[in-house]
This record gives sequence, structure tokens and C-alpha cells, in this order.
Amino acid sequence: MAPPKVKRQLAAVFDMNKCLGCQTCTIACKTLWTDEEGMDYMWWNIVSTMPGQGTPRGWQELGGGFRDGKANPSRLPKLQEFGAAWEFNYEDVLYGGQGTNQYLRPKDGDAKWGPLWDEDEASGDYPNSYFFYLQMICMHCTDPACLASCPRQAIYKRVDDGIVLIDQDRCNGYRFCMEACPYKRIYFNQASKVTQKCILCYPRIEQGVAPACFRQCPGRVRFIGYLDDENSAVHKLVNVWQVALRLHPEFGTQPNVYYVPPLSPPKFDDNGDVIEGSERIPREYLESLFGPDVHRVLDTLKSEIQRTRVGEKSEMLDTLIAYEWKSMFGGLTRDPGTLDRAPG
Amino acid sequence: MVRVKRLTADDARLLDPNAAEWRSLPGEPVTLAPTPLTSQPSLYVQATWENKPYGLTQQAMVKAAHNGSSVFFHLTWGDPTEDSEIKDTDHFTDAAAVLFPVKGDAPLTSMGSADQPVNAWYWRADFEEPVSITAQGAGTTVRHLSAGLKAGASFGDGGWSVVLSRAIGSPDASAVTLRPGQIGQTAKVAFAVWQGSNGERGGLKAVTLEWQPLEMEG
Repeated sequence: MAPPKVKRQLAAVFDMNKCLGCQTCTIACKTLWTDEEGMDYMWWNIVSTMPGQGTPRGWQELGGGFRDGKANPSRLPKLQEFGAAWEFNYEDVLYGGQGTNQYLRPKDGDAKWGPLWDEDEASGDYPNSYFFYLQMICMHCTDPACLASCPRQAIYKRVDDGIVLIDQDRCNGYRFCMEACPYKRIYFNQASKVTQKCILCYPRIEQGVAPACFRQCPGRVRFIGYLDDENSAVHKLVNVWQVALRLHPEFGTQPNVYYVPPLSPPKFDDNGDVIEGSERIPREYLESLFGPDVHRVLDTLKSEIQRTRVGEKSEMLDTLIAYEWKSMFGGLTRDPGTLDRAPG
Repeated sequence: MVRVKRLTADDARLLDPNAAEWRSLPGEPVTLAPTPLTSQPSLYVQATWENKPYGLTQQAMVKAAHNGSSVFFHLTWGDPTEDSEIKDTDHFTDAAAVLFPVKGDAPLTSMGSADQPVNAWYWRADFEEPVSITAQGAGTTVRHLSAGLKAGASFGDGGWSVVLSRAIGSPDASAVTLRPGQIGQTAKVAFAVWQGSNGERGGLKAVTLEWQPLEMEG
């Protein structure tokens, strides 16, 4: 099946070097979109610690996407693997009459896994341990495996901006899309019996407002814009300077979320002295995430940093630093407070 | 041949799959087989289910009756597990359907065609009411709510007994017309069963591979 054709494509760049792991993006999304019945376990946006299991647990090993141009089989993750919302023993603590003998904890058997179970858990050995954050939303792929997998054509890619949406009326809850998505960014709503996922805040986009997770990010991690808009930061980072890469390009779906890969602090030797030129995060690991291009990108970033250290200017670094937040959003800079919104 | 017997019993009684009227009615065994993999409209489904068995239900016992105002189809089939509610993100529920050509010689394996639609009465164990579905080719199904379908279901003895019912006649142009005394071109029926525990949903089902002739007593 040929990928759907679009006139323009909205794309995102996440600068992993600026992420604080504060999950403000996650909560911005949660409060805006997934606070209804059946959505409690959904994290359309999530920031995982890497190396790590991510959410759902071990998603990188589950398959899906395309291999050799053909649909690659996968399986449906269970609620436990997503990390179901825990139930707490509020009744016992608040009304059980047991005073301070009873403390607040997840009900028995529930706390075996959570979406951020391994948050801030480092890899490597002290003092050379390391971790970094991976920000994930729906990738709004150029060749979405979810769209191709749906026998009902309930998933479509918008011609004007390339946003991928699930038609909630056509969806029959078969969940082939959930299986086929190699990034496992689709959730099943057990109350409404349909699948749901990140919609790139399209109602905001349509009114010139950046998506909530972009706009709320205090670290200025997230860039958005049309790939063909030569004035957009996204266009420059992806097409001109080519320092933003696709996550797991081998999955074959051509995702439209790009990442500026993480630089490393240097390692210490046995005496506690800095090993000049060394990198804590193994290059092989980053290559397993972003492909062989990651070496060129990290080398480019390091040489740009070196240039600025000797007093030269770097438009690339200025763009990544984002001195002015409006420079990050490709024109989607309208204040969401000015939108007309129905009460309730 | 599926014979729709004329019975004297009210709707509530015939909607009970364990009613005495059904027990005394002879059934017609119907052979079911998996929908061919090549007719699955999704390449993902084809790739994933190439080496996995589906459409596990090999036979259904069919009985049919009408009481002058409503028509009833009574299906019984074996299923080792009762899957009545969606218990997890990877779990599916049991289902069954009775399928009719809306007009003419609608093709069965492709679920009708653009000018020859089919109409299914679809029962799913976790639905409050059965749903009327029309299709004009695989992957084109449209649900019609409030089509006046009713169902009764019970699980026991290693399987399901389900009654699907609707008023005689036709509620609208999208649905099949059924009337007493009807035999011939449009009076045909097919059946499908899904086993939820095996991940059967959509085109992954056991079906009668050919239309069964239908005869309604006057």
C-alpha cells in the first residue's frame, strides 16, 4: 500500500539535551485530553528514562511497523504492560479507624509496574553512570503502520498538515492499529471501546496555537512547524543543518517527530580525573536508537559548541537554545488564552 | 436449507434461548470455516495471522422461527471460554452474526458489493443490544443503531446459545426484508461466529462459505 499523500507535513523536533524530565508536557496533555472514563492509563505524551523499558514495557522489542516493505507482526500489550493506574487504600487510611497503623499504599498486587517505573534509573557504573530522557507522542508518520493495518479505513492522515487521526465513529475497537504501531503510541479505551492517541492538538493547530505539550514545556525542548516552511526552526534543524534524527528509522514508518540526540558528559578515570574527549553514553546505544547518522550529528554539535567557545557565532546553537520562544513554533504562536472556548 | 417455522409464542418467550419452544424445534447443523486470509482487507492482518489458526468454530446449530410479527434466529455453538466483557487491552469478546443479502445476488465472501449490499445482525457478548450492520464490500461496514434488533443469550454446556430477532418486514431501505411465505432469490442467509479468547474480531471469524437458502413458513 502506497503511503497517503499530503500537501504539507507538520513535524516536531525534540532537543533531548534540554529536557529536565519534569513531565510538565505529560500533565499538560493529560489534563487537556485524557481525563475521561477509560482514559486513566493513557499517556498520549510520556517522557521515559533511557536506557529503560519505556511504556508500554519493552515497546522497542514488540515489532510492528514495516520490515523489507512488508507489515511486521507485533502483539497487543496488556494493561499491566502499559502500567494501569494504581488503586490506593484510601478507605482503610481515611475511614478504617486504625490510626497511624495504616499508611497509604497501592492495593495489594497492583504496584508491579507503572509507566515511569524505571524513571531516573541510571545505566553504567558509578561514577560513570548515565541516563537521559526520551519524549514521546504519536509520530504522525509519513507512512503510518496504524493506518495501513486498519481493515476499516478508520485512520486517516490529514492532507493539509499530515496529522494522523483515528475516526472515533468508524473505529470498531479491533486494535490492529495498536499492534501495528511500532512506537506503541495507541491506547484502547475500555469504556468507549475504541482506540485513541495523540491528536497533535489539532484543534489548537487550526487556530494557530502550538500543541499543549510544546507550549507548556519549561525547558524549551519542543519545536514544531511545517517541514517545507523555510523560516521554521524545524525545517532548518531537519533539512538544512540535519541535526535532528528519527527514532528507530528501521521501523519503516518515517515518523515526523525528530530528535536532537543527547550529548554526554565525559567519563572519570580511576583517580576521579576527567577523561578528555570521552563520552558517558555509549555511541553504540545511541546508534541503536537513531541509526548510524547519530555519529555525524553528535560530532557536528560538538564542533559547533567548540566554535562558540572561541567566540564565533552559531545560528544552529542559537536556534536550539531558543532565546525567544516564538522562534520555536513555526508561526503557531497565538496565545491559547485568546481562544473562544465553550464553557465546561 | 434454513426453515423458519411458524410458532405461537410471544417475543419475550422466543428471545429466551432456553425456552421450551426452541428445545422442541429440530436444528440444522451449519458448517463454518475461517474467512480466507487473502480476503482480509489489511496486509497487517494477513502477515500476522498467516501461521495462526482463527475461525476456530467449525459448526453451529441453527434454528429459526417467526410468530407473525417477529422473526428469530437461534444459534448454538461450542466455545470453551465465555468472553462476555473486555477484560484487558489484548482481550476480545465472543460474537455472532446472521447475514442477509439486502437485494439480488450479493456476493458473500466479499461482504456484498457497491450495488449489492448485505445486512448483518451482529450480536456481541459485551454489547447491550445487537447492532444492524450494512456492508458494500469488505471493510465498509456501517452500524445502524436503533434498528429494532433484539437478542437473548446464554452461556453454558461449553458454548453459547443466542437468539437474534427483528420485526418482520423491513425497518428501512438499508435492511433486509423478511416476510412469511418468502422463498427464492433474496431469501438467503449466512452465519458467522467469533471466538474472543482467540483474538477473533473483524474479518478474523468462522463463516458459512456459501449462502444458505431460507424458507419462511406462511
